[in-house]
Amino acid sequence: MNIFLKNIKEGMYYFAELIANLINTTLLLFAFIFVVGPTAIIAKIVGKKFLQAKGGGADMSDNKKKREDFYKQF
Amino acid sequence: MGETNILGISCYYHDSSAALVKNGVVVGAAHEERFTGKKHDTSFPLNAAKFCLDSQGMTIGDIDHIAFYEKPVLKFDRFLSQSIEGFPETAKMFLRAVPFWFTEKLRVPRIVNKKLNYKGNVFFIEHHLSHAAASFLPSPFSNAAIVSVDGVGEWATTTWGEGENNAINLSGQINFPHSLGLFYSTMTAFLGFKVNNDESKIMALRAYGEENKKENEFYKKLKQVVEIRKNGSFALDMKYFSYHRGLKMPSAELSRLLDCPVRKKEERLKQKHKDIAAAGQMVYEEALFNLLNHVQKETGRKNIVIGGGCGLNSVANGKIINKTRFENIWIPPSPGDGGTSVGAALYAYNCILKKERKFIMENAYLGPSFTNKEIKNFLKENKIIYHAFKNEEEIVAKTAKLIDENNIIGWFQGKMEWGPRALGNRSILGNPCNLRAKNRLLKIKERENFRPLCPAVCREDAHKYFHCDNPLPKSTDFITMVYKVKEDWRKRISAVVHVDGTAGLQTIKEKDNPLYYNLIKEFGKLSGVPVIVNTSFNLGGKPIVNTPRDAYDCMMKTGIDCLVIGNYLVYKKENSN
Repeated sequence: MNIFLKNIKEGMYYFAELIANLINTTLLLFAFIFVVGPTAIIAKIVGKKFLQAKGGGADMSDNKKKREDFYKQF
Repeated sequence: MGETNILGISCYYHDSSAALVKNGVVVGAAHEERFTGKKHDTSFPLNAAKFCLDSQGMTIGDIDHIAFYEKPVLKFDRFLSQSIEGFPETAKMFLRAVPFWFTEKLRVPRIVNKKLNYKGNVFFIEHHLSHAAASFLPSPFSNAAIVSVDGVGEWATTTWGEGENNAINLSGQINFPHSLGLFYSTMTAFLGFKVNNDESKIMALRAYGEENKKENEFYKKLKQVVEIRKNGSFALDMKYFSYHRGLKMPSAELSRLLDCPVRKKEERLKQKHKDIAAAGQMVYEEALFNLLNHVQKETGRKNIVIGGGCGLNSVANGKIINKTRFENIWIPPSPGDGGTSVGAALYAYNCILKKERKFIMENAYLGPSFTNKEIKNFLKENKIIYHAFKNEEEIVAKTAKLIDENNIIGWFQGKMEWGPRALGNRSILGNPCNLRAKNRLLKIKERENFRPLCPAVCREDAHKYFHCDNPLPKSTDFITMVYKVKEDWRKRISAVVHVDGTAGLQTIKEKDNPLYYNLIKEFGKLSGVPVIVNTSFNLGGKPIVNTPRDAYDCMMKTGIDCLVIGNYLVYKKENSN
């Protein structure tokens, strides 16, 4: 009986995971086509490049950053 | 003045790790893979963090700050930019990666709180700043030029600048998609090997290829792929790559350029593959040395520290002093992403809290260790037949004799090493004078026969056997440099000499590891050559062993003859039943 219940539980877990993956994929596909897609098209029309080399000259000096800046994730 | 304890964390890309800095000194550091048994584990380093705390008798309540090794939102910005720029080819990448961004990568403070029960704020240090800190702050230099080269962090793939006392100034960077690390990884993928794992195979394979630039037809072709500029920077011609658009590394255009299809994993290695590996290494080195010379000119420094995953390219590292104007070099034992937990924690202590530097990484023994009592209990509980040594002299004498008799030894002593390389505490040891031992070791490690094995030698003997830089860099202790073996000794220690006469040596100081040091010296008395074969103690595809159980299992599953574990000797043949 225990084995039966364990198998049912495992089966339900995999089923739930499958459903979650399906919903995730559908939503993400929607976002990719209707959000990323138009942004990419507009960017191409206006000639905006997202991956251009930004070259040298970056300054990540600790002297110029305050302690609070390091609490930020950006 | 109270104590300041900082926990550094690196995870969610590859090789997650944790490190503990106590009053400016790194007192513990470990990679999560050693605890989970999953090589290059990317998961949150809960086990590694617990080890760091337990090893100092601390709880999370004793931690003043947590430092994370990158800025996730900046990285997400790059990911979104990639998705937009490469639309619609980036669909697969987008669908695969976004769930992880929202469940893990963008929720670091919450995950830290949940997993570690840490209530404070988290410092987020830029990826390359963490690399720079990991390579400069624990270095023996008070000032140095800093160069960090890897695949990619948030946006930067390469950064440079300088460090002085406890300040780091990064003055230049090259951004994604232009990346020397990703160029090298693309060559790895092109030749049928696994990215972020098998780059060392390309380093080994290139020695079998044509290393004369005029004779190597692929060198000229690959020079078109990487534009090396006079200002020290470089740019990739992105038509030859597809990593910025999706999941594969080389594009079909690269195959056309090289007139060679991407090698399949099981396909036999042909001469052209070896020549491509050699060409890739040559182009990589040219771009690196050009950058280093520019940085030397810009900073005027004599010392250089190297960070980032490319710091593991020991073939290039061994040429830096010769090919640039730098006089001294230091590379940490874990220059890649796995090492950034140390960098983030030290950066928080030295640069954010502005406290003076107190720590030089003299050795890499920062991981878990086991007492003789714990080892004996393990052996007894598992009914393993063992022999006890009376003292360290007996361990040294017996093990040296076993190696001299061409046995393969699993050597498990003291604290586990920090970084991807075994440095004499979790090592498999063998006789360098015996080619049969080499073949057995390659079989044990499930390694391809084109890959070399590393020699270990006491520091004062290194110049006798190898054409090393003079003065000998301290980072040769971490197997970060490859040098030529002196011609007179190549035949004698043939098991550790690569086909081009080089070897990636490890040097040992007596004060750092007296047992290992004495073992090499004792072996020298028996064989006439104080050099031994040292390779990491693991099964192919698995991380280096961490516990006595891991070590014993590894011996029993492979052709290792015996295990010298703490004060005990375990023979495989006595336990085979």
